[in-house]
Amino acid sequence: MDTAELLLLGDEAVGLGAIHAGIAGAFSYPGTPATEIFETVERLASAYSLPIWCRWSPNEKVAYEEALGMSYAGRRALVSMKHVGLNVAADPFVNSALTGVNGGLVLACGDDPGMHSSQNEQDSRWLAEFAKVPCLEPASQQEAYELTLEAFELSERLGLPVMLRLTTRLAHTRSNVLPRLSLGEWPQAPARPLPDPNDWTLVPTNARRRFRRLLSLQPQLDAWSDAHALNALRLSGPRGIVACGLGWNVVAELLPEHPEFSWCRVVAYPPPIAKIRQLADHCDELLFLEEGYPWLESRALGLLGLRGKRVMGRTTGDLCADGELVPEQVLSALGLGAPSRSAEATEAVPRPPVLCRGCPHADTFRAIAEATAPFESPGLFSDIGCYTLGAFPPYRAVKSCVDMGASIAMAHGAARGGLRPVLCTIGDSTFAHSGIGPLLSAIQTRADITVVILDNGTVAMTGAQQTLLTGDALLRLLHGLGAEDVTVIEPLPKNHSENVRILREALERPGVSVIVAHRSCIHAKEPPCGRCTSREATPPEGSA
Amino acid sequence: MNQVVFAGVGGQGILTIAKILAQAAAHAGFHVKQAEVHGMSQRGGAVQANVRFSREPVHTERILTATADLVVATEPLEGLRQLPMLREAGALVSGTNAVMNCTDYPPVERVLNRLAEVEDHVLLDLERLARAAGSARSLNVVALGAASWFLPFDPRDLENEVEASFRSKGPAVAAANVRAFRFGRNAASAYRDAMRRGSQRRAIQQWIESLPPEHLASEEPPSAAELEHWVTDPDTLSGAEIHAFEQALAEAHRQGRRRLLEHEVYALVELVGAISAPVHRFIPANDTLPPDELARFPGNRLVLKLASERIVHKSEAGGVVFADKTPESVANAIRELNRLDPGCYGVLAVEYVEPEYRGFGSELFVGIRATREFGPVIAAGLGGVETEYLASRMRPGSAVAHAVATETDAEGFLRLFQNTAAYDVLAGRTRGHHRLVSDAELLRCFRAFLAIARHFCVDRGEAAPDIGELEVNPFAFRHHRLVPLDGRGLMRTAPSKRADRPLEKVRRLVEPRRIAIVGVSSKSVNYGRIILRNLLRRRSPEELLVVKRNEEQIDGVRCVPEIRDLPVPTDLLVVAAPGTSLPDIVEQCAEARNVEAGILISGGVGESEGSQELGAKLQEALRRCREADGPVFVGPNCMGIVSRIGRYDTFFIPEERLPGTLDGESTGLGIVSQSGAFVVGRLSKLAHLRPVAAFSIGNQMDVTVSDAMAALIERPEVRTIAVYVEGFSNYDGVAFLRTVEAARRLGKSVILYKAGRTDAGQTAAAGHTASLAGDYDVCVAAAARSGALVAGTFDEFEMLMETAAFFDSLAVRGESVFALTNAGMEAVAIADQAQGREGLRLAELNDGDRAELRRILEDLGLDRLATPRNPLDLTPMGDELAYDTVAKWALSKDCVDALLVGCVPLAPNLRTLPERLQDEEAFPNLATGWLNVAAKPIAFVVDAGLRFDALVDALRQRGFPVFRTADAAARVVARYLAHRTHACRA
Repeated sequence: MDTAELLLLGDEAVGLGAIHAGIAGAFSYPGTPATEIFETVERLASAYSLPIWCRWSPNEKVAYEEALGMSYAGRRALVSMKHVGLNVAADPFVNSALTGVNGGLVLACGDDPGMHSSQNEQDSRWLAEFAKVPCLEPASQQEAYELTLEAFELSERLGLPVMLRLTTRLAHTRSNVLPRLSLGEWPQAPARPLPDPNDWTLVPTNARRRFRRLLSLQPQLDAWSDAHALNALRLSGPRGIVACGLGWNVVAELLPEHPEFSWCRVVAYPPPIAKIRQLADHCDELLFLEEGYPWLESRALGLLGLRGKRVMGRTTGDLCADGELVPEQVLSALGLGAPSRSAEATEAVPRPPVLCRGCPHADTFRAIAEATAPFESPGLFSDIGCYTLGAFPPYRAVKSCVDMGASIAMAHGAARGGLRPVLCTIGDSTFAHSGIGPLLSAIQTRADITVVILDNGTVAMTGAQQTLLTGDALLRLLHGLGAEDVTVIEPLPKNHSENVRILREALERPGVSVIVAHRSCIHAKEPPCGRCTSREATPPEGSA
Repeated sequence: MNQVVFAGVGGQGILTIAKILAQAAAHAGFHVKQAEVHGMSQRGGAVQANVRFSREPVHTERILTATADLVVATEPLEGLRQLPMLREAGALVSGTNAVMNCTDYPPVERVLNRLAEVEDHVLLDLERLARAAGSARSLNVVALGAASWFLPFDPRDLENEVEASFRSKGPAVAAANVRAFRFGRNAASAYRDAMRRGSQRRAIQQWIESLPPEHLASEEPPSAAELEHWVTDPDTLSGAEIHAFEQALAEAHRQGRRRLLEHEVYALVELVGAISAPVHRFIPANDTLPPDELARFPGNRLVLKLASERIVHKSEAGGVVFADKTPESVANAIRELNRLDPGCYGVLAVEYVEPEYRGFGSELFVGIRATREFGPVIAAGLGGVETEYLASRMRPGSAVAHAVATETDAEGFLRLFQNTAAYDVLAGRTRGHHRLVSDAELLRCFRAFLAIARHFCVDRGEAAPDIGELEVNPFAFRHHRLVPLDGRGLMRTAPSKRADRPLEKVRRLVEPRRIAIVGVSSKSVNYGRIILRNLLRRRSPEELLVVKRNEEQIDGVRCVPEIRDLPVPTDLLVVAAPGTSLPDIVEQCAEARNVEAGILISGGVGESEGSQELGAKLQEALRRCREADGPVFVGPNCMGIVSRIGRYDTFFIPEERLPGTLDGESTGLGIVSQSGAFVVGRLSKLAHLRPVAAFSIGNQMDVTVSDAMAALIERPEVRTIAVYVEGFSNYDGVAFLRTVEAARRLGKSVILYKAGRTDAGQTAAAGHTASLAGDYDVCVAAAARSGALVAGTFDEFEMLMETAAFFDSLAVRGESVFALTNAGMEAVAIADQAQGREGLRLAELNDGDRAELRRILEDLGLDRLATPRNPLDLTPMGDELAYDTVAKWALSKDCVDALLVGCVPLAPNLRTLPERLQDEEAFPNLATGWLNVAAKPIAFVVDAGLRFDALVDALRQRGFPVFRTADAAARVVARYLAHRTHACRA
């Protein structure tokens, strides 16, 4: 079969690696920059009719748990999500380190340093360390592919879930990948025998045992890491560089001209302590290059620092403490300078994202803005999705955006704090993700809020993925939750004054009033090519 | 390492083209990294992608600031945003279509200007190109096609990549995108080509918009060699520009128009970088100006002009309306104009241009036109309503500069233009003015007009229609640039060019060995018989033949029955037969090919009413004769040739009326005249000039004025050619100019009298030698510039002929003249002529010279009467001794280049009466002796009546030009000396 070189995104390399590792299922909730991992599996599975289960889950926690269940059943499973999605899935993730895995379980996590499409830039390596599971951080698309395969092997060898950490640049950069198998190949692995149920039942007695087991694996992990071929060390001159993940690429580009640098590369975590110590002993100066937080840097410095060494990194101010690793900054920290042009006074005014022309949200927000205009300071809570853009002119109908599902719960809390009127907006997919519980709570406690569910029938922001709860299903669910005051409106310019009236009346009515603004996303209607175009305009988020 | 930044607005497909490039690089074996960054952007936000590829492994995803080789932007503001990424000498491809979905979007034109500061840039209306290619959505692929010039791939590979990338969406979509790719590539090629030659960005864009789809869709991108052809030197049009012009002309032609509309004129001249037109947009009849188009106009007013075949003088007819820049106001104005002429083509909306300066000379016109005699001609001068008035009231060359486009370049024409009053005003040379436009801008404009003229104002064979006229009148000035306020153009089919005559055959006319004659009557003295007799005066009968049936001999000359019986070669066949037989004779000659050259004497062959049919028949016969390599023919309707070196005379003038036409040693004069009467008149009047040869060439159906000149000028005996011409045959004006140049290089002179300068003159000329009269001003200006001495009147022409004939064998070192006379009046007249730039130069005497002259006057006893100065008035007391002493002294001075001697011969002490002329002391002998002091030009003024004609004749016989008034002498001598000193220096 044809195993020609391919040009793949980092995400796609992971998806292909997982197929070539013989997974039986892929689980995810859309979120930049991890969305394309699942989509790759979904696309290839469909194209080559591979018996791989691929369905979007309602949220990351569910996705992780579904994957864990598949592992229990003795099959390999891939679960992917963006960094903040792991907060949602943190519970099953941390606990799965105790249960361990049966079939290989790999968590591909997309971090977003620079917050291109996220509400924070937290570094998932902290969670891997927290859960005490190994983490692999590729620096190239080829490595993303290779390390995915390795992660499954490792997971099964250690009986632990393994984290694969990607960052936006890697996830969304396309490069040459030479796969081991051809595109449509899927090496089916027979299901492993079922595990000992005691190991998976984390009642305290079992949990204590399992935790001890986890702790006992740690020296093994350290040894594995120090021996890992990609955790490479090269001793040369007295200036040393520790390069984690994508930080390595800057160094690799530099070395041909500057062989005088000593360096240690970190791909596999826990970090290769012996190698890093060797480098530190050898050098007078250490530069830490990490995409994300200064995780390794702060570990190496500890509380008291490295005496007698000049240390440079994100904690020392030599590199920016936030944002992506900027090559120009690295060069400047190394005193190498970078080409530059006289700073041109550019007239390039920012081009903030806007709601599409014809977007149903726009009509809803216009109506909300008008309906709430008479009030001095209405509470306008919102959530994560395209509709967060309602915060900007000309709408200014959104005053908060925190995490998936926060809108309803915060509205409830604010109302309990005496704020009137209180209105919140949440998309259909976000509602399914994390909005049901908060609404249930508000209804059952008779909160005085208006909940507007923006039902456009898709996960628009991440590229119009399928949503689980829309239209009639949504209305039935609302009914089941006990919502009595439910009105469906169609956000169209022609209905504007009617919609304003409905909103205003709802605001004035006591209790929970639910308004479902139902109109399809303009991109949801488009044929398949609509998906590609909207993917390039990838969205802020998709996950909490 | 190759580094490309792609940028655009969400939804434009930036990532798609970045991916296509990455795929192409990967398929070509490169290591690639293609990074996408789209921020928190739903559609409409900024999107950017980096592509890095190299033969070496590529590590980092990001391109460092100021290192990108190429920025490809589908939106101008996004291009601007990425400019800092570009390295020195990097390239930029950007769309011009602004997506204004953010607040404070800067003025688009400013953004585009900033982008255009990148030297290697391409700015295209991607959307329009994409739409033309089949789908507006393909604008990203258009950009990729444009960018392909800067990428190290075979464009076909990129094209295949495009096809593969869209294949899944069906063959129609894939094909539309491949087309879009080609459109972009070809449009960029045209753009870069036009930029390289300094064209205006906006003009190029408009031009590219007007290109037909076939042109942009061409499957094979131009090869390197073809590209070489596209990129031509700035003085000629590129293939792409020619194509654009032809399209525009063909379109107008298709619409049945002869006129080019104003915006079409702008588009054409802007294209070649001639001008920066104000923002304008043509609105076809019954259409409107869309609001987004309106928004492109700067300022708050617009000018709307009716484009109509019926109404040419727009302002007078209310066809020009000013409107506020509001949709309502503009719509009203357009409606109003459309109502004015419901059959109009439409309305041109133009930005209102506030002139920087009003008043005299504030406007300029530049135009080109096709002339029959000289082909393409350029003219520039004061424009606007003043043009015609000034041209008629100012000295030639002061109001309007004109030149033959093929015989000048932009620099040369600028120098010419710098002599005009217009330039004085434009350059701020007049009091209280500042410079309105730079020379560089004028050069650019002239260069472009010249290039257009050279290509389109000539016979292009099948490619017609050609440009008859193309004119911008007036230009205004803004920021030292030319801004056109109106423009017009006319199409026509250029007159056809005749094949060149072989010079070796024309040469036979000057010195033929064997001469034959047809049309001789054996029974009566017809013209043929007179010619035969005249021939026999210098030729033995053996050198001659008569074509005559049934005769053995006539006047001792052997007869042959038919032309085909003439021996090979017969150098010259004189055809004195009636006009009706000429076509047949020409055809016989073409068939027999035993004759080298012929002279067709008869008239009534096309030049008069009723003879056109015969004329056409003869034309056709001559055409076939040329094709068959037959003889060349002088005439018809001419007197033929008098040649001293050829020892023959075909003039049908009996000996007693024109004696001695072939007698005596010749001077260096040759004469070429379209009019036979003119030659005969000069030969009679100026017999003392004894020309080497005189050609009367008649209708120039075959041999032209320039042909005859060329045959004469190469003869060592000929040093001056006097040319009388009423009209040149098609394009022969140019050949004439080139012959003048050639003469100048040989140190020889050409004196020209051009007849047919007025409408009346043209009509008169047409009556004589068919309608060949042409454009006087152009001819005179161009001839003078080529180095000809142009005479304005017959008098002047004759005087110049005489001066030249007598002076052309003398070395002329300079222009300084010493003048002596015995009349105060003449001294004053000569001094008067010494005023001004083109006046007579009087030799400047220094103190020593004056002291010497004073002593001479003392010795002559004239010191109380005469003042030692130049001109020197010897007073009527001055006798021949005084003339002799002073003349010899003057000729010996280095500061004196020529001598002008005025003698009022009535002074009693002079030997000027016929009976004393042989005296040693008389002027003829005396002056001959002066030449021994120094062989410098000496001219005389004899301002007296018939009684003294003998003196005049005697002086002329000795080779001295004689003038009958002092001021004419000063003027003509000054002109001749200036000509010899400057123009004629090899």
